[in-house]
Amino acid sequence: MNLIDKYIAEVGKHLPRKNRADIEAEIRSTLEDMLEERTQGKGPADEATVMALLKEYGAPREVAATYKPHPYLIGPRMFPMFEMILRIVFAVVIGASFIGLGVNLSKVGLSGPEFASTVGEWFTGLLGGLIAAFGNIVLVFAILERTKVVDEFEKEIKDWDPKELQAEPDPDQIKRADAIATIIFTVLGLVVLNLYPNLFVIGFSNDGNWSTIPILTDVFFRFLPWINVMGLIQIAFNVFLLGQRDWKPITRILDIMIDLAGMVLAIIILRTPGVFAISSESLRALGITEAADTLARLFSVVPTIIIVIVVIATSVEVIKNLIQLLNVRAKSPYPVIK
Amino acid sequence: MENDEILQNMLLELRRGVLSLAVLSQLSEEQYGYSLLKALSEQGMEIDQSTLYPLLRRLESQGLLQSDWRIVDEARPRRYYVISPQGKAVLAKLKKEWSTMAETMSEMLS
Repeated sequence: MNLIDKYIAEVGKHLPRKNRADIEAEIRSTLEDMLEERTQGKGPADEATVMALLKEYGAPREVAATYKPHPYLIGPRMFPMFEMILRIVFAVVIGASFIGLGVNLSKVGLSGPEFASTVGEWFTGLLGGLIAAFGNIVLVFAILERTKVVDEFEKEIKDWDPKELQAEPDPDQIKRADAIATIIFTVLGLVVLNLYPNLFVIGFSNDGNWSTIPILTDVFFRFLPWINVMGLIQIAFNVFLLGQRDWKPITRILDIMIDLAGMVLAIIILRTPGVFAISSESLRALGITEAADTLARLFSVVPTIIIVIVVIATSVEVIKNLIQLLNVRAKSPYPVIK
Repeated sequence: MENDEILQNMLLELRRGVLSLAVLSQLSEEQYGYSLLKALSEQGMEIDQSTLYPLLRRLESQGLLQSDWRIVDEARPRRYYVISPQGKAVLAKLKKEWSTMAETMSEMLS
């Protein structure tokens, strides 16, 4: 392998796979043209000439970069939205983290080694939470950037009509506050589930001793990746809604599908045996002897109650969406300007 | 930012648009990359390979240029570029715009 081969192989490493062979061939042909000109056709070039040529042509990574169509992760069109979501999520993460700190400090008090370690843990948790949140938001936006969503954003901006300013509220209008609230609560839920799972405890006083039992078991946390995926989809969808002015049939259908998927996931989790740690054994271990069986039996209906609530809430949302969806279709595609 | 850097950035932006026009104007007859580079430089339009080749590719993907690999005069294979019919139509409009703009600017700057 001579220097030029090595150089081209190095450039090729950083090229998009699709056009790699073609771009490599073109660079080779150019380099050979340039070399030929420098040696004026007097036989093969010496190493110093080749080196000088390659130096002039540029670092392989840099050369490859000029061919890449997508040099940015999040483009200028999506960036303002990215910034807004980042602010919201950071505020939520920091807020949640302070609440977590408050809860923990109320147990350990404001002095002593436990205080110091609690604050230390809080700080590393907050730092980790912020980094994880940042990573997830970047991920969501990087994906949105590479889908058709970004074109939809452009279209909404282009289609903007000053008449919107005087328009009456209409049922198809997307309520930004709803979308922002959904994002905030989803992020909050994900942060707590992922970073502060120990907040899910039942605490009570037993003969003056404060004891807690965890509510959720490892069986529950095995579902965490699914919950995270569901949450991220929910966040991505609501970010997309923020860029839209009106509900459209497709967004309504997506909304219904996400609602239903969430419901199915909730039902699957709640119906899995052993997701909750409350049982007569765990209660007995805490010193509750007489009431343990009764309490455990009482608690065993909780999943069923939650399932009923989830099903009712989801059905209401889905039916509302369906009604609007059918109305939208019946409406003329040419809105009457009042 | 240093003044020099600002100037460099502005020059870069200024050249970016002009280069497409320059390249389109020189490809009424087919040329391979390096010969185009030299033709441009001989007429006073210096351009880096690292700018020219991606630009050629972009113009081709937009349908303004056509290209194919060929061996001419027993030399090594080279990629030859030539303006497409669509490119000609665009070039004609661009030329018009350019002369209006050049006129306006020279009046403004005089």
